[in-house]
Amino acid sequence: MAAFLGAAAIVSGDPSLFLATFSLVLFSAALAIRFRLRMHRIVTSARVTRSADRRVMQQGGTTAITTDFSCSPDPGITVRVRDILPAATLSDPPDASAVVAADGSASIRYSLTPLVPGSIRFPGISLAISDPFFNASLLMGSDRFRGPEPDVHPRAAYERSRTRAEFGEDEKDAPSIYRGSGIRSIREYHSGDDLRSIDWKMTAKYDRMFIREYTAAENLPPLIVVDLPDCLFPVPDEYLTKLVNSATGETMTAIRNHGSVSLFVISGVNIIDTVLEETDLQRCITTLRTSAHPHFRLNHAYRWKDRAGMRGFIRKNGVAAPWPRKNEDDQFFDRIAQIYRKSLANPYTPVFSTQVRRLLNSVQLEEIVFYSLFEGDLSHIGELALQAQMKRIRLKPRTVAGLDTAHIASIKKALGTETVEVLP
Amino acid sequence: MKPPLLRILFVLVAAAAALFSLAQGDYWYLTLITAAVFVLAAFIRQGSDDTRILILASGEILVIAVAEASFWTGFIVQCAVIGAVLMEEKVPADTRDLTLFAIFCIAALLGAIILDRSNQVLLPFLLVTAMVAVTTLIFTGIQEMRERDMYAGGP
Repeated sequence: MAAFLGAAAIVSGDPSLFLATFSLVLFSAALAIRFRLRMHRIVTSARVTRSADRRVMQQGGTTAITTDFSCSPDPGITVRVRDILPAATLSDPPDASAVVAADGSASIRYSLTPLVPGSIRFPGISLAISDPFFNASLLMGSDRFRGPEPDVHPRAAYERSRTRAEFGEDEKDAPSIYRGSGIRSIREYHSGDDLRSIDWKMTAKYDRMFIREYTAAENLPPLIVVDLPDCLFPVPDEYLTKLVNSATGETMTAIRNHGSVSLFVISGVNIIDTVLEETDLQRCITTLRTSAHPHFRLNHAYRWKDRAGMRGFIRKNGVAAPWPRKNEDDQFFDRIAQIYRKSLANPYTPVFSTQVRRLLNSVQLEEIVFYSLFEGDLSHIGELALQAQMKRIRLKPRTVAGLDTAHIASIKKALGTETVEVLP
Repeated sequence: MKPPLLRILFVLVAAAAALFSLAQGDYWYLTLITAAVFVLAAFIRQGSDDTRILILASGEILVIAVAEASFWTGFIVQCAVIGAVLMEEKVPADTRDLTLFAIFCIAALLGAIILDRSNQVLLPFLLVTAMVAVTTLIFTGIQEMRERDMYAGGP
């Protein structure tokens, strides 16, 4: 408008147009100076507090970043603050920014995934300031807007020590960087060996360099089993929510402590989902959240033949009674024993048992954390407990509060365990 | 949305000055029409930023129409228009905005005196306008450079 009026004033030579043009230029200059002063007040009062939920993480892992920003904006000014991401990282959401509220505060929350190992440093923030007439941006990367500096360890440090080629087959593909305290062997020194591993006693004795080879230490992640209820049996939503929340918390803890976790989601003898040695927390949570609802059970274990029970019955009652038989009870037991013998003569293995056996063979485990509401038939739980016992894997059953004492006693009997942890 | 009190005050001042200049000019009807448009623009209901632009545009037309009749009345209308655009947010107005308005009025008065007293208008106008523009550019440039030096940080 000023340029148009100025051109008109120069052409016509009218003093009134000159006055209007000059006033507009002066007004624009005043607004520009006011905007700069307002911006200066904002940047001098800017404070940033940034925190990461972990200081050490693995390459490709995820950490949650919270950036709190505060300043003293004048009314009528819009301030948008954006966290500048370190190089070679990904964020979710991709644009980590927020608009500053009227009180001058803003909070940015996002998850960050480093793609390369090393120390990553947050370069600072970017401010975009605008008023109705002007806008400007400023990159604030001085020391007080930087940091923290999480350490990113290389992926190889977290690589699985074993991979699964086939079910039941384990292959050691890389030496573990974690070493135990035990000594596996002693050998002569080769160029490139770690000098800290030199056995000085042997070296002094034989006047040659000897190296200690330590045993590898392995931290085995747990298997988390979530047994979802049958949709035909009404279960309170709060029970299921508690169960899934607790399983999610256990998953997070396992990934934090062990670097990976295995998930086995079932509903009775129906397998819903299996995730083995997963290092990505998001994927585990997605698996749990998407499958965490009552399922229609296509297969049931009601007609499973309890072979151990049958053998026990035969041992107890299966000896033929002397002829002539004394009473009808003897005839009944004899008949049942005959039927059981016939059943035991035919090999019979339920599909679920095979699947559980393959699962337990495919991952190295020390512990199974079992989440269930223990509603309806418990045969599949007994089978899982039996196979865990055979593999010498510790089973930790967990359920939610609200079950009566008799029911818990029956659960203990089915699982063959002393305790059932009740979630509050 | 109700117009702010300060804006009403400045609009009334501008309208009163325009009415005062009616007797002096030849094109009194143009002054009357532009004054009516300005008042309407100031009281029309719309968003804050759009209202400002509308007030400024209609106000400048009013300034030209009034200054045609009386240069100094035009100056008063100009100050009132800028006041209506600048101060609308709260009552009492922000001290910083009041200071800015006062500085603007003084600078505009100096410019108007120079334009009024000069034998010819073009050269002083170009000179004063260039001085204002260069001063503003230098101030904002130095301010921006200082901020970048202080806050941008190094590698």
